[in-house]
Amino acid sequence: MDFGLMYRTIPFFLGGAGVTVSITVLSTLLGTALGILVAVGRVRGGRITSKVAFSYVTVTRGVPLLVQIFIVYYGLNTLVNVSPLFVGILALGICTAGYLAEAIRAGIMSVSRGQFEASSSLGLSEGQTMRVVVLPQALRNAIPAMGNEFITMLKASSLVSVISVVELTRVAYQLKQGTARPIEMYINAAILYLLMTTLFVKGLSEVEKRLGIPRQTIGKT
Amino acid sequence: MEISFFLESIFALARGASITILLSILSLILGGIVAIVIVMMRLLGGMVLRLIASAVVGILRGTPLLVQLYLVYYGLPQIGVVLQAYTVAIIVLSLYMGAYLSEALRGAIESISYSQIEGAISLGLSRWQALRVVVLPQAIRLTIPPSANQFISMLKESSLVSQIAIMELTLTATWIISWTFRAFETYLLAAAIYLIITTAFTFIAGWLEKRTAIPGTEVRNLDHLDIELNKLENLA
Repeated sequence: MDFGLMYRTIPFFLGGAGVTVSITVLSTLLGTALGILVAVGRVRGGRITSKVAFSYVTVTRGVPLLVQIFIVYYGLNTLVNVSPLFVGILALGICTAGYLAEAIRAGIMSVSRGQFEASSSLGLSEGQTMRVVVLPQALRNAIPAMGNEFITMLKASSLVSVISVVELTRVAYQLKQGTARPIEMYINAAILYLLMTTLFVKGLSEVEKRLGIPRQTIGKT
Repeated sequence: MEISFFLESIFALARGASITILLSILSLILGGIVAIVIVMMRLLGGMVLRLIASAVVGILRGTPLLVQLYLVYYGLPQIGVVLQAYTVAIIVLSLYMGAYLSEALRGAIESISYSQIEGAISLGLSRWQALRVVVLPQAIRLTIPPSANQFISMLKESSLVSQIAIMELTLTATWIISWTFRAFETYLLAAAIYLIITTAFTFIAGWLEKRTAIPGTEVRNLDHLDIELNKLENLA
């Protein structure tokens, strides 16, 4: 093993890691927005809306991410010319929305029915009830599950390297081509992924402590 | 699309799908063996073995499967080991699966209360007997639901081995596209096949879970529990 080479290439990998984190954060934001729509549609929507939302969740969770990326990539490119980076973020966002919707839906279900009744008896409309009473609690309930999904996405974002987005995995691939030292390059990438997942797991448990609903974090048995 | 061509594509994709299923089943079986070894190391081993086992699990779960595949596929030839792509795929998928299954198995073993072991020993069973006839039968049944989930995600994650040139469902689609140039339609078709496979296996898993559930531990609708808790809160 050539440790000198591993050390010298670190700056390239850090750049790739930055892209990986950015892609993950952006796609998670997109996925959360979409996921809230899908979750609310599933819980409160009419017959057709909830069917559509259910199908969305089934499809995004039943098809491999790689295939979803290819579909978005080739589907969009027949219409307009878009950058792979945009396609990557979009495809990851669409996929993670399905998983996040399930987490948020569980959060909504855990808000007791009495609160829906109470807020409608106070004169709030259904939309207002959802927006100011239920969702703030539901999202806080959903934080642990959403955090797990974020970590999964951090690793899954490596798949956008196949549509030539230069993130961490792609950097390793390019440097492997240039140096003919695959072991060193991929171990560098793996170390950075490991560092990032470990750090984010730590960070997310802190977020959970700060933002979780206190009553439910003490004893859920 | 011509109808004969469409049929040919379907046949090719079906063959790819069978490879996908086969790879997933193999990695489930071999991963199960890996998981048992890891759990033994973590529960019965000394400090060094324990550290090694938890480090391996941490690395396998903390890095992307794609990076692991590339590392082994491109890395082994560098140290003079040349393996077939299939061998690489099966090794990497099994280790990856094993790491996740070991967490499920460990959780199941630890969830069985210690008083059961004490009870078994006070009834005159040896420690090994207690493990074999009391703990393991329950632990294995508790491991089935998470393992089934893991298997279903492996059906999807095995699509990554297309990147090391294994003709499973995804690469078959790519291959068809290379001479039809109909990327969007072909990938949609592949997606539909994946959806059918995962849905079918989800049903099978649900049936299996119901058959093997330990009576009294089935996951029930928790709504009534929520209502009870609310009542208690109102009283307090």
